[in-house]
Formats: sequence, structure tokens, C-alpha cells
Amino acid sequence: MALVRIDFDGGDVPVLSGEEPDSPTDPIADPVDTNCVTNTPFFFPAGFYCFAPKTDLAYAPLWQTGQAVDGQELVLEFRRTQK
Amino acid sequence: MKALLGAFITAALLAGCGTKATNYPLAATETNADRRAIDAEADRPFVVLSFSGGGSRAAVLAAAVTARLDGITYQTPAGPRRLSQDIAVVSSVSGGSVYAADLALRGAGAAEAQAFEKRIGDFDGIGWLEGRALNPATWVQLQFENKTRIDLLQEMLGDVLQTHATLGELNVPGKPLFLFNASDMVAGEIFTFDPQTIDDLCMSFDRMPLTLAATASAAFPIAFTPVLLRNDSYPTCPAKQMPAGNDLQQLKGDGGRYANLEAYRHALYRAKLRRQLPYLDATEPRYIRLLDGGVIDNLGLTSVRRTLLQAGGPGSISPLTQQGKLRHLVVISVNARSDPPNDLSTSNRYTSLATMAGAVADVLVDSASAASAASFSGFVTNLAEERGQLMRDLGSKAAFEIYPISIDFDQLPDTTDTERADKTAVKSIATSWTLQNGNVALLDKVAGELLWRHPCFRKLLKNLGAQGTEEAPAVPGVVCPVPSPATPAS
Repeated sequence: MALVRIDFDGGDVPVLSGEEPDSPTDPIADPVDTNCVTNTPFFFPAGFYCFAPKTDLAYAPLWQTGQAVDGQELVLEFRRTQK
Repeated sequence: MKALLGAFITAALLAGCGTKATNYPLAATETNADRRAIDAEADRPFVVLSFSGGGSRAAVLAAAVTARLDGITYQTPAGPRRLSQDIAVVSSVSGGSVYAADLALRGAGAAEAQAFEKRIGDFDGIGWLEGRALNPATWVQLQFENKTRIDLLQEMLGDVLQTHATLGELNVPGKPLFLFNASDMVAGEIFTFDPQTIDDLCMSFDRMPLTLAATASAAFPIAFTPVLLRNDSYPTCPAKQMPAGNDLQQLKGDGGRYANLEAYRHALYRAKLRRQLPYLDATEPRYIRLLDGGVIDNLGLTSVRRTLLQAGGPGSISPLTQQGKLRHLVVISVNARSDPPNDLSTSNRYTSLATMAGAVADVLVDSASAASAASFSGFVTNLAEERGQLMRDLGSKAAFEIYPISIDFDQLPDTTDTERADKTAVKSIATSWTLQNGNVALLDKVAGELLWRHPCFRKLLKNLGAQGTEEAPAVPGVVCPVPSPATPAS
């Protein structure tokens, strides 16, 4: 089991997990709400994942992939593009 | 030999010709939804129960342990509360699924659990099945109505449970999550009756009978035919199916199979169920054959692990730790594994095919259960370590205690003659749908003893300031083997 933290400067919003789309300009595919929020670490099973914040704010990148490793913390960062 | 011949004749009589697949197809306008939600709060423990297989013996032991939880009370700011009210997840296999179904229907009160113990103790399941086997009307049904032996088991469980309820009645907020586990005999994977897995088959979860889930979970191989489900999934499913979430991501490229092989295999299995892999011919009908969940994991702990960490799942502890709502994680694994007397080690008689088949089946089930228990133990160790890291970020908000409580006949004391006699007697109760006189009382008694002797159960009661009627003394000098968080949970 690993820890995951999704940093987002747009506040504490829900974290989505789904499938990496074919294009970086497409949104995350087939997502589910993890019921966890950004900016606070949470437990996740080891594996390869695609995450995105669930927000109406404009942000980049649209999604990011990463490997959650047992005993380690995976940190992915998303930034607002308009402030 | 006579018994074997009888069993063979019975099986032949009940063989039937046709096999009609069970299907509750989703209509184009229908969608599955997971409406289950656990009402968790920081001042209440999060209690997970897993009930093993073992026929009526397992069902009674599970009910007896649950009845004990109803007798434990503690104070919360809102008033007194019973530990049975905190049951959040119930995972079950085979005989344990029969009681889990009763718990789902009637609740976790001690009176309801004791009524179930009496009902199953009085029920002669083997007599019921033999009666049906010798009834010519059954032969007609089997030959001409596309019925098989498994339909008889489902009818029998309907009689025991006295219900026509559907899984939809469990798919509501505030009820525990019920995980009825079967084994997919072709894929070798655990098949859990939850909204996501049933949705994978393009079937309606809400319309599926509760007894079907219990029957698949208890379909002991050879004695019963498998439960056959039709799979009309993607892309031919006319309904909008639930999102696959992060499962498909595990299958992208080669990374997933190295990052977490178990998760990769599970994701692959779900993708096959959903027929989302390019090499599967999605135009042909597909069928799923389900057998007793004990074939792959007789403890039901694998689906507990998956549920506690399932992204977005209603049983996930991840959001609870973020919100500081998890203070006491209690996992009670009720293992009704028996160890009946066996004279093979004192005899050089010929080892028959039936004896070998029985022994191999037992060894396989025990070995799969041992692997599941080891994985769960690793999960608990890992969880305790990660808790420390989470606390470095979140402080005492993330501090929670973990109480893994195993209920296993091997933990009974055997110092005195009486203790040895009780232990031998309870471990000799055969795996069957018919119990003998005195079995229920004995199982009920040892359930209380095993629970009260367990150091993690004692620690839980102490931390909650809980009250109950002590049924056995603590084991001196033994502590709960999972350390408390560095900052004590309040």
C-alpha cells in the first residue's frame, strides 16, 4: 500500500482516478471519484494510476500518471492556468 | 463404500440434461448504481467481519460471534451504542454466506443471531436434499425444466433463509456492505457479488436474488453444479455500464504487471468480464461458472483487502483517514476450519479415489486460506507502517488503532481434560448442512470464549471503555500484535 498526494493550488477538490486518454488534450477517461481530496495524502494500493482534480477551474496538465509504490508517497502537482 | 455408491446414484439422478444460464439483463433504460454508504464517525469503530466456509458449522459460528458483538456496549457523545451497530463490512464464503444473508435480512441483533442458530441447528439440510433427490417430481424438473443440482441448493437456502429478497434491498445507505464471494471456476478468480462486478456482466444488481449470491458462494464443487451466469457485457450491453475507474489503467503498457501483479490480474479479469479486450470476440455469448468461494479464499479476506482500498468504493478507508473519521479499525476473521478425526495415519489400508479427492480438496482449500491469511497479515503490517507516514503529514487526525481478531478453533486452550474434549469435539463437527445434537450449543460457547480470549478484542474493549459479559479470562502475558500509533487514538 502506498500514499498518494495530489497537490492543487485551486483548493481542496475531489480527486478522480481513471484511464489515461489517448491525447494530453483529452480529459481523463472513465473516471471514478476516489472520495478523497487534493492537498492531503491518502492510502492507495500499489499500481499505475491516472489522476486528475475534479474542478470547474482551468488547470494543467489535464491529468497525470504515476506509480504508487508500497511504503512510498506519490506526489503529483496540478496548477491553475487562470488566476 | 455404500455411502459413496449412494452419492453417485444421487448425483446421477440429479444430473439433468440442460443447463439454463441465469440472467438478469440490464435494459437499455436501466443502470446499476452503487447506493451503499457507510455511516462512519470518529467516535465509533469501523468493524469488518469475514465469515469462512464450513457448512452449517461455519454459519452457526459466524452468528454466535455476531451475537457477542451485540452484547458489547460503549458510550458515545450521542449515547450508549452496541458494537453490532458498527458493523461496516461483511465478507463471506460458503456456509458463512448463509449467515451473512440472514444478517443482511434481519440485522445483527443477538436475538436475531440466536434465532438463526436455532433455525440452522434444527434444519436437516442433508435430509432435505436427499428427500428432493428421491422425489420423482425432482427428476422430471431436472430432465425437462433445464434445472440442475445447484437449483436445489438455491431452493434449500430459500427455505433456510425464508426470503425472496433481492440484492437491491442491500444496496442502500446505512447498511453494512455485504460481500458474497464465489470462485470463477474458469478464470480462477474471486467473484464478489457487488454492484461493479454484476455490472461487468451487464446484469441488474438490484434484481438479483439474495439466495443466488449465497448459493454461488456455497456451491461446493462436485456435490453441486456451478451457478451459470450469462454475460452480455460491452459492447453488446444495451445499457450504460458503470465506469471502469482505474482498472484499465493497470493494463496499459507493461508497467501494471510489475507495479502490482495482483491488481493487474484483477483488472485483467474485470476487463475480460466486460469484454473490453481487443482479442475477445464480443459477438459471442459468454458464460461465467461460479463455485464455492472457499476454493480460492475460504476466509473471504481477499475481498476485504480490496474493499478497504477500492478507489471511490463505499468501503474505502482512504477518505475516512483524510477526514479523521477512522479511529478504530476492527477486522474479525471467523474461521470455522475443522479437523475431523482421520485414521489414515494409523492404517495401511488402500487409499481410495474418494479419500484422495477429499484430502486434496481439503488441502487446497486450507492452502488457499493460508495464503489469503498471510496476505492479509502483510496488509495489516503495511497499513500500520503507512499510518506512521500519514501521521507525519496529518498529525493525530490520522492516528487509528488496528485490531485484527482471528477466531479459530486452534486458539482454544487444551491444558485440562475438559478443554481438550471441547476442542476435539468442536474440531470434529463435519462440514455438512445438518448438525448433530449439541453442536450449536458447543459452537456458541467456543465463539464467546475465543472472542474474549483474544488480546486485540480485549484491547478494543479497553480503548472504547466498553462493557460486556466476560466469557473467558484474558490470556496472560499476551498483547495484541499490532502496535498502537505513536500518538494514541482518542
